[in-house]
Amino acid sequence: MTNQHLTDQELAQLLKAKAAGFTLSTGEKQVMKCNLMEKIAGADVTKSAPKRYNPWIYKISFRGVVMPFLPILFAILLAGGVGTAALADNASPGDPLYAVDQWMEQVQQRWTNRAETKANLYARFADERLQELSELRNTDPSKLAERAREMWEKHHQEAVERVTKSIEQVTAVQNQFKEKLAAATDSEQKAVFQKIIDHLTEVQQRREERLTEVEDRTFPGLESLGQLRAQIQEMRQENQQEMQQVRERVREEFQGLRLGNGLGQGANSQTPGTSTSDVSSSDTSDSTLAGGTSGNDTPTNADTGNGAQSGNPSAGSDAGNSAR
Amino acid sequence: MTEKEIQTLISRIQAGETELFGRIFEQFSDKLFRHVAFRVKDRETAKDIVSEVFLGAWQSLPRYRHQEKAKFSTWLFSIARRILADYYRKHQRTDRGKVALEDIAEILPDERALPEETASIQLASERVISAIQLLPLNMAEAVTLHYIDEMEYVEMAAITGKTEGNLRVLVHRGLQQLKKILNHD
Repeated sequence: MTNQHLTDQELAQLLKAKAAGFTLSTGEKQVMKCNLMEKIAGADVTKSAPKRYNPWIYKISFRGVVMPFLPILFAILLAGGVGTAALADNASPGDPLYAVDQWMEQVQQRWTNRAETKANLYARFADERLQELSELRNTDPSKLAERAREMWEKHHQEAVERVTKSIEQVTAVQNQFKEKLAAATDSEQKAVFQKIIDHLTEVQQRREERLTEVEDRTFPGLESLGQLRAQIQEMRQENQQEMQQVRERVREEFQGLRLGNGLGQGANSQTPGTSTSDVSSSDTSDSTLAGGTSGNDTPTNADTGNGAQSGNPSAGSDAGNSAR
Repeated sequence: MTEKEIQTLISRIQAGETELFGRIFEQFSDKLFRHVAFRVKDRETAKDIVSEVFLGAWQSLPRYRHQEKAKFSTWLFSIARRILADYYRKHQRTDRGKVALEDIAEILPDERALPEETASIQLASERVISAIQLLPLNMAEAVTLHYIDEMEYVEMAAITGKTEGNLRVLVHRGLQQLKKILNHD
């Protein structure tokens, strides 16, 4: 006798068919019910449950009771939003709110039109980058490893679940076509359905292989602190490149401003709302930026020097302070 | 009975009409028995566990509160789950990651005893119950709830406390494991 190799569908049908035959006989039910009721009869009567509905819900009128609380609710939501924005502004790379911080910066950039305001904004971002870099330098690498592992495991589990769900979906579609094939009378139609079913089988096999691949993936890990330091070093260099780009951009903006102001005394009168104070504030920010620029050179030197290799936090914090 | 009728019945039992609990037994006994029978070795044990479940439900009924979109059967199956866990602990059934070859050999019956044309399917049918009991506990639970009890993943998640995604993976792996056991020569 040959053993038929069961497919998923056949096995599922087998399970359901077997389940249908599993019931208690009438006699067995009677005996079990009698025993149960005897035990219940001997026990205390169940306490009556308190009323399932709260009558006050039906008596509260929206206008009389709920509406006065709406302004308070609104104020709480607004404060919550503002509070989150304030917290996000202090977020460092790796913090959950860092993405919110970055998003807010992009929104600010998009909505800022005036050149000098934009320049001030870029200067502030440059300062923030320096501060984040400094904090990153002071981060304990072993904590990063733990966090990386947690995130990897979470993503790994999600990947396994996604592939499993996709296999189920393919199986469901395949079953539908099998039903159509069984119902088809035209030989041409049957051939088409069979082709589709065969193709879906291939898809399913490929996804099974993918699932095995995903399941067998192991946590690459950060095996040594040396590797971790190298990665942090890479991140620092990327941040520096980003800061350099910000500086370039700010310089360009300011050059544009200076050219605009140097073209004529009427620059102020031509732009409504522009006042002397605006011109002076741009000068101030220019000098601040100049000061910041020279200060920014210091961390670069520190990074290529001994500061990074020895992981000396004082070098980083000094650089951060001088930039301000 | 619809879910609404069941909830009304529960309210009346909680209010003091204790004799109505018999109707709850009639409504759910088959379903529970089917679930438990696939998880334990023999019929008598399954009946004992079902009785324990209903007794446990009676004792916990004063604390039962109907929640929106939650079925009474979900609550009942949660109690069954707890009692099954106690049963496994008492009988030292530990979770096994892999199925041993000797366990598979135990469930292969004598093929010569059955007519040839029905042999393969009938064999598989008899072996499938034993095969489920060879699965790791979490897989056996997931496969039983999905295929035997015909529950949706939402309800399964409410009973087991696991995520739907996790349960899909367990059902899929359980099915693959069952196939390996049943297709093994």
